[in-house]
Amino acid sequence: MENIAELYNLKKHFEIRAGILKRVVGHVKAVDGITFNIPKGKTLGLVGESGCGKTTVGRTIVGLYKPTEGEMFFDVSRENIDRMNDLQNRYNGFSDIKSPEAREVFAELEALRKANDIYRLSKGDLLKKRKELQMVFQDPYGSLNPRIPVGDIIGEGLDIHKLYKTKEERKGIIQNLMDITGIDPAYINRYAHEFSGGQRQRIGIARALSLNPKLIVLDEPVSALDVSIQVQILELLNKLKSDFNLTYMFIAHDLSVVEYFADNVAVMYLGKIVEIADRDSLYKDKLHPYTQALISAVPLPVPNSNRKRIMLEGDVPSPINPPSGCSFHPRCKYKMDICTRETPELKEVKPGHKCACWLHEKG
Amino acid sequence: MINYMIRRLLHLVPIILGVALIFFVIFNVIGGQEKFLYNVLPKKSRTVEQIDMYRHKYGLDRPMVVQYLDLVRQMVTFDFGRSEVRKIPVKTLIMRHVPNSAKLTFPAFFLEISISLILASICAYFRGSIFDRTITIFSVLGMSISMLVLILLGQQILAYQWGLFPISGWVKGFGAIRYLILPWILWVLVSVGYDIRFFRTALLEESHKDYVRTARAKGLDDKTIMFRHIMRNAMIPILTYVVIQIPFLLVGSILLERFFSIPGIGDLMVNAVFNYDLPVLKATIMFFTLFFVGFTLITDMLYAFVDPRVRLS
Amino acid sequence: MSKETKALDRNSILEGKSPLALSIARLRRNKMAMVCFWILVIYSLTAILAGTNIFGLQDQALVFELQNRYQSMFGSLQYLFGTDTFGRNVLARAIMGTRISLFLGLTSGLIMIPIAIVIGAVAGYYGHFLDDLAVYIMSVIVAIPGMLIIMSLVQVMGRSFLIIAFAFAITGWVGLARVIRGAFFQAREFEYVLAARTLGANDFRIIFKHILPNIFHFVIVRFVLNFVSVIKSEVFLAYVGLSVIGIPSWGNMIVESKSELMAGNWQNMTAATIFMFVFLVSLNIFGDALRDALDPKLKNVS
Repeated sequence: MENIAELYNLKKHFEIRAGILKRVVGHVKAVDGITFNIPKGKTLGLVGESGCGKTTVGRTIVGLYKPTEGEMFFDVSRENIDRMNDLQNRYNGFSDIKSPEAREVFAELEALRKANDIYRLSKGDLLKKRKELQMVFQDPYGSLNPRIPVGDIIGEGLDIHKLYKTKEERKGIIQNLMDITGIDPAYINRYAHEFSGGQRQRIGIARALSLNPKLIVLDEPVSALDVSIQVQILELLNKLKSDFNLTYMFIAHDLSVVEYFADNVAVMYLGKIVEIADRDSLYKDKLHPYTQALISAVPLPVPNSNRKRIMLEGDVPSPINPPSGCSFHPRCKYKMDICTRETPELKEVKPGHKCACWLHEKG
Repeated sequence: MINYMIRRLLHLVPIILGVALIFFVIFNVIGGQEKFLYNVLPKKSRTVEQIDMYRHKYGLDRPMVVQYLDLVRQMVTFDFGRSEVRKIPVKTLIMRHVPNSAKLTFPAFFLEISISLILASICAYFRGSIFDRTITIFSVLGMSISMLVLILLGQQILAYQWGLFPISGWVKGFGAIRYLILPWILWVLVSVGYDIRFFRTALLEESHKDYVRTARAKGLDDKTIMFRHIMRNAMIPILTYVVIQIPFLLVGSILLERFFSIPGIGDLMVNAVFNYDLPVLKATIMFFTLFFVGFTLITDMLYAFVDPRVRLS
Repeated sequence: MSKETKALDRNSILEGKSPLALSIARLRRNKMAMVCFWILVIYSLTAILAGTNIFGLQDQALVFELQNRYQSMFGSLQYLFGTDTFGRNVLARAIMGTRISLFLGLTSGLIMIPIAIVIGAVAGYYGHFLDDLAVYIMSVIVAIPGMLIIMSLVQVMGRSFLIIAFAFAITGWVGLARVIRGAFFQAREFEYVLAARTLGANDFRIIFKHILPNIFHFVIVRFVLNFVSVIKSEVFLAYVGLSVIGIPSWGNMIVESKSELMAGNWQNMTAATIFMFVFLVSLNIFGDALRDALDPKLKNVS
């Protein structure tokens, strides 16, 4: 399966400063070393409680935040990926990493990475790449500038990247986008406050679509909407995905929506990914205790069905001082000795199903 | 709490350095020293040698950095030398004038704040009533009148034509109250307009918040809600506002002191400006700045007292 | 013809109402504010008129006519407020005072606003070192009573019109800059700002197209109310002898009247007070109405 984006060890720590001299007194580890791939043409759901860093991941992917550490390879050609993997394997194979050959291999690998890592691109190249990475925001009221007509909101990307020659062409593109996303193109000169929540979210989608992106990060796009409208928007998104060959990263806290909408699901807890798998595998076989608790909290359409709800004890720990070892251990009912000491790594437990938990560590 | 106080005090150091820099730039760099030298010298002795001698005496021939540091030293030790005009140490001069200003401003400020707080609470409590509307209209009118006009009218009509108050004058001790009543009244008249409007808005804004609705829903009576809940929470913006008013005490005291012959520090300062009495001017500026900064410090403590969240940040 | 009207009608339905248009509509419904607005317009026209010698205005305001001293008030329209101790027409002097007051307010506002916007925006948007620096400068200026800085500056640099306006601006920008800084600080994380950045908008575009228009109401209201503080401060400056020289200003007139009142000559006092009072009342009421009408918080209520 081909990946549109591959992220390696992504970290985003926000500094906390205090005192007269504004010394750094701590870091909020919003995203603390995550590695995953986003498969092309699919929808990857990213779930977790509020404050777990999922929005930060989304914003770092589209480049709103500069990561503290980590790499992201976006839309890199097959050939380059293979070359990098090959070089990496050769480099790992060297017994003496200081030997001239090893250095040569490393230099080539580093050059390739630098050319393809989106966070190390030059300003101009980044701007070009950015077009292909767009985002739909959570708040349909806050995500549209109230003082700009919606036509200009949708057309802003076109203006920035100068994607038209004449005014008429610009208007045509905008009206086409409105048509595609289900807004009456006649309303091109209306303002955001004159639309309903669902319509506004359509405007936000049209804006994201305007630059022909390859990957769209959907940051809880329907959580602020009525359930009936949620379905309409999700259907629109699905239709657009197949029409325009899009890839989605869908951030949500509502697991039922994710089950309906996503192909693959990643579960985040306190800045780390604790479990990632394709949807069916994950919902059938919940490996991580946290995932089990999350899924058990989803309300069922049939009440009184005999499912035990797993209650999580305590609060989400502070991302400033995450617990030692596995950061979930203070709330985990399967807590073992090792959990407090060592951090489990995200490892493939079953084919295509990764989990970071000592329970599933082999051996 | 002590930790918090020490931290706040440390914040003052750069502020004092900055204040010194501003006045150093105005008086020592842009101009002032030449005019000052001109003024302190009698007409006959304005020869080049004399001016050079005085320049040397006041250290104006030293490098700028040294002059600046000297100003900072003066500000910190509050030793500004002697007034060239009055031939007395500046410190004595200031000490002599400060109590008189205090007699004028503190009761006036206290009256102003309490009267406007009371009126504003009544307005907020009975909002939309005739009382509320009348007070609101009068506050806008009060905001639109110049203090000087009010002083002139008060002195001319109330004191001179109707003889209700002495026109001006000053004695030592408690007898001075006789001369202070009219200034206090005028002070209150000028300032309550702004205060009432602000306090009323602050109280009303607070009364629209959710917790007030909850209090009402659980059956608390209006009085309890007003005094227990709204007043307490509105205290933060009100305190902030009161502190912001403090620099304006200066303008008020200058006008009132000069019109009613109250030998206070505002009077001293205006004379210093007129006579180019640089040492006195520097001292009064520093006095006002310290006064204001000190007040900010006290309010910060009060904040920490009123709102426990502040202490933690 | 009818076809055109129809097209227009259709346009007006589809043409959205911008928040600004809604605000103006709100303002126009406020009758009191509109009355004040027109009064302010009349004052502005008067100020412009006072720059010319129309009806011999400047001559009457400035030239001594000693045989014409202390004419009483309300005798004729031309000498509505009588004459002063030098036989000058007090009405003409008050009109010229309007010009000084308005231009002081306008000039200081025009100097102050760019300073406040640049410093507030840079501090709030970029944060970090620039913010620390801006906050430091602001807290130093705020620590000194503004009048002190104004008096010292005018005393040292001279009593010219521009220097007085500059002195007002130097102390006046801080309040506005603080508000702008706070607003930018919040707006940085607004989703529509983030959206613009995802589209590739640069800082310039974000600051001027997305953030500033949404907080510009602070600037406008401050600009209007700046006139109030400048006019009041001018009276104070006149009293300490630091206002403009040689030109009649409201402050100068009131200070002159100080020595005239005892003898029962109220001409200067009455004229300057009425002119100033009506102007300040109108400014205060209009400023308030403007604040309410422009406040974006009210918009989503509908």
